[in-house]
Amino acid sequence: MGAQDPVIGIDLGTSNSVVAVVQDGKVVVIPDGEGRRVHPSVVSFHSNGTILVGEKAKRRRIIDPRNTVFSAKRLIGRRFLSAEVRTAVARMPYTIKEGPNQQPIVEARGKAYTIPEVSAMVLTHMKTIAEHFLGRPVGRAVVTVPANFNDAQREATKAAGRLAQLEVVRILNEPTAAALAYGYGKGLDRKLAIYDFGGGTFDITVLLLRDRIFEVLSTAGDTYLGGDDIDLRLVDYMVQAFLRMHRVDLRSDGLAMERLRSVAEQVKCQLSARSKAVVQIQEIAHGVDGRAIDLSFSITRDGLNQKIVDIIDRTFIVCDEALRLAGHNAAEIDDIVLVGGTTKMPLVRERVATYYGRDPRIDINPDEVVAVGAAIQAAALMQDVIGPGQIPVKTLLLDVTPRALGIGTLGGYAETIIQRNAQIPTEQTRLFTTSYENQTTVKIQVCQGESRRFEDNTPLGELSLSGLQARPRGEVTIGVTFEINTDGILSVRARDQATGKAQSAKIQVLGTMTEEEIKRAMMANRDRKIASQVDEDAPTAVHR
Amino acid sequence: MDLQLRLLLDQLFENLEGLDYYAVLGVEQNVDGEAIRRAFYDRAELMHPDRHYNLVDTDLREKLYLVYKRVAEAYRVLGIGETRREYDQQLARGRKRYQADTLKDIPKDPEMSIRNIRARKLYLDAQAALKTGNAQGALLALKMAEALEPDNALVQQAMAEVMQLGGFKR
Repeated sequence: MGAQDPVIGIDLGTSNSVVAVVQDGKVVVIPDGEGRRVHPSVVSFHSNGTILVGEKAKRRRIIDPRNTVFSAKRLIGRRFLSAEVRTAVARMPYTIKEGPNQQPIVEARGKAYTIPEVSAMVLTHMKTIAEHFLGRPVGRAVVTVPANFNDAQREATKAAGRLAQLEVVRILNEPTAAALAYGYGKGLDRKLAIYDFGGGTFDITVLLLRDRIFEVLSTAGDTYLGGDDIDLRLVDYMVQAFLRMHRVDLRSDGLAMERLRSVAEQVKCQLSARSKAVVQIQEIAHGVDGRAIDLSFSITRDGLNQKIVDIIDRTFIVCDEALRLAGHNAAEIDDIVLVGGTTKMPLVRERVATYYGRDPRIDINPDEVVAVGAAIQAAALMQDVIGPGQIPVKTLLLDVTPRALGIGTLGGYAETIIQRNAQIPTEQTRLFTTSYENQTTVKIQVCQGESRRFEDNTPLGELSLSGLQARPRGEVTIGVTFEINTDGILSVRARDQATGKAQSAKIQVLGTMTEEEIKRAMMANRDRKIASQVDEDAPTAVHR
Repeated sequence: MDLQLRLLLDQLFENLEGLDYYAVLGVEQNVDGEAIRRAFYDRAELMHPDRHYNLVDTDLREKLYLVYKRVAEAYRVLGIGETRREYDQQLARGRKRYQADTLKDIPKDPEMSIRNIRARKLYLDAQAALKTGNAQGALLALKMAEALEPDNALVQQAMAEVMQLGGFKR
């Protein structure tokens, strides 16, 4: 493997994905054969056995909703029993079931797929687009995730990379990637707020930028808040209007609901450019007499704004929190950078301007900025191995862990070991004691989150340390060390301070594939057909 | 890696346990917060693992990583006025590394997260049943535990394991 092999940056989004690469110090967003730069993160399982990904798959959402998987990112690395997955089971037109290791799996055309497998199909698509463009194989990538993705979600995303035969050289936080894209090569000295409002999540990150050093001061987010919530609000409104007018409840009709959702998204986007949108959907339902009923509907931008302003204002509660953690107030922020499709809405820009007391920057493309940042980070990691005459990318990112990490203690409490927003890599140790007479084993349950109550946090896994000396309660001291590496991934060590006996574990995270499962899937992948819409005659970049 | 960095790295690595955070960052104890930040940035420019991502010498990598973690730790403590003041007091007593607090908590037996006493007992019964290979009995006990205390992560997890083990359907 040559050192100059290109390492690509991939924004693996909830709704769309983008791939970029740095060539000669300049970032290129890679188009597919049809010139498209933004690719739907949708996978459709066709009746002929082909697996479609991207735009072609998205078109099948309407005609084949049961076999077309979208928003897989909302499920990745989550346990089947989590609230998010339960909501998805109720909402999604495709089938979600419980698989091994408490993970959700999707079923299409009689076959089951894990979520990392579905995401791997999207990643494979992005990889193929890059390979066509670059005219050479690509084996490594920086892949972005929302800043507040937990350990399991990051692990699952890495697993998806492996299944796509991509070595994920770094899992990068999306807002941080956006900051890199914004500040790269500008030599700025500024405080930045990255306001990232995507399809499924909201993240806010506050950074200090000093020339080529990007120090993340704080990050906060809401994984249950996104542009999709705006679409659903609009769908609800249409459903209610239809119910009043025709006495037909569309909510029991999965196909009709999917059509409404698609229309709602279009209406939302149209109203970013125009002040009024008119919709006509033919034969959305049938009346009691069997006659087809059309839905006609019009809405103004102001009308939409009124219905959704509360959703947008929820983002500022998160902004308050991030600023508090960074030790700044809104007025001290020099530049506000908008990321994610939802920030294209004029109302979002207005509310952001009001909150920060200045207009957000609109000179960057919110759809592409994250992939651009991923490509910059990829180039920065390779700066010590570039070929002669090539321009090194010298940015340095000092990122943080978004959530506190701790362990369960007596009585159902959680004790923090690493505070949230600690700079990574980091290693921290705290001392604990046994809780019973002659206790020779401790089970250490690891969780992520800030709550004092264990069960309000996300359980990540557990490890046990046995062979402790049989002593009265409280007399055996155990040092518990957490370490977070540069990918934001955790490892845990426990050590009996008296005997030096130690137990370390890469904890088996719940809600994603086990190592064994990944290996099995990698074998099976070889004979799977993934139809990529990359044109064989696509123009490719000239390479020396 | 250039020679100057190697010398600095060796010097820090060999004395790591004897150096206080100011020495790790290479500043005087009376400097202001901005100087702390600048010193940290200078160290990060040289030593951050991302600056040496493709380093093949694994021993050197490990050394670099250990030293950088301490550099970051120094910044984490000295970078915030409050923890810096606490650390300065600890340093005056001869402590080189910051100790968050002396609080001793107790790693619990996991079943203590089950608050309902009967549910906890049932959970333990289920564990006992599993040891004798009685998956059916374990499942029954867990279902009863779930009824008493729904949404307990531990009970849910045990249930999932038993289902998988016994090939039961939910």
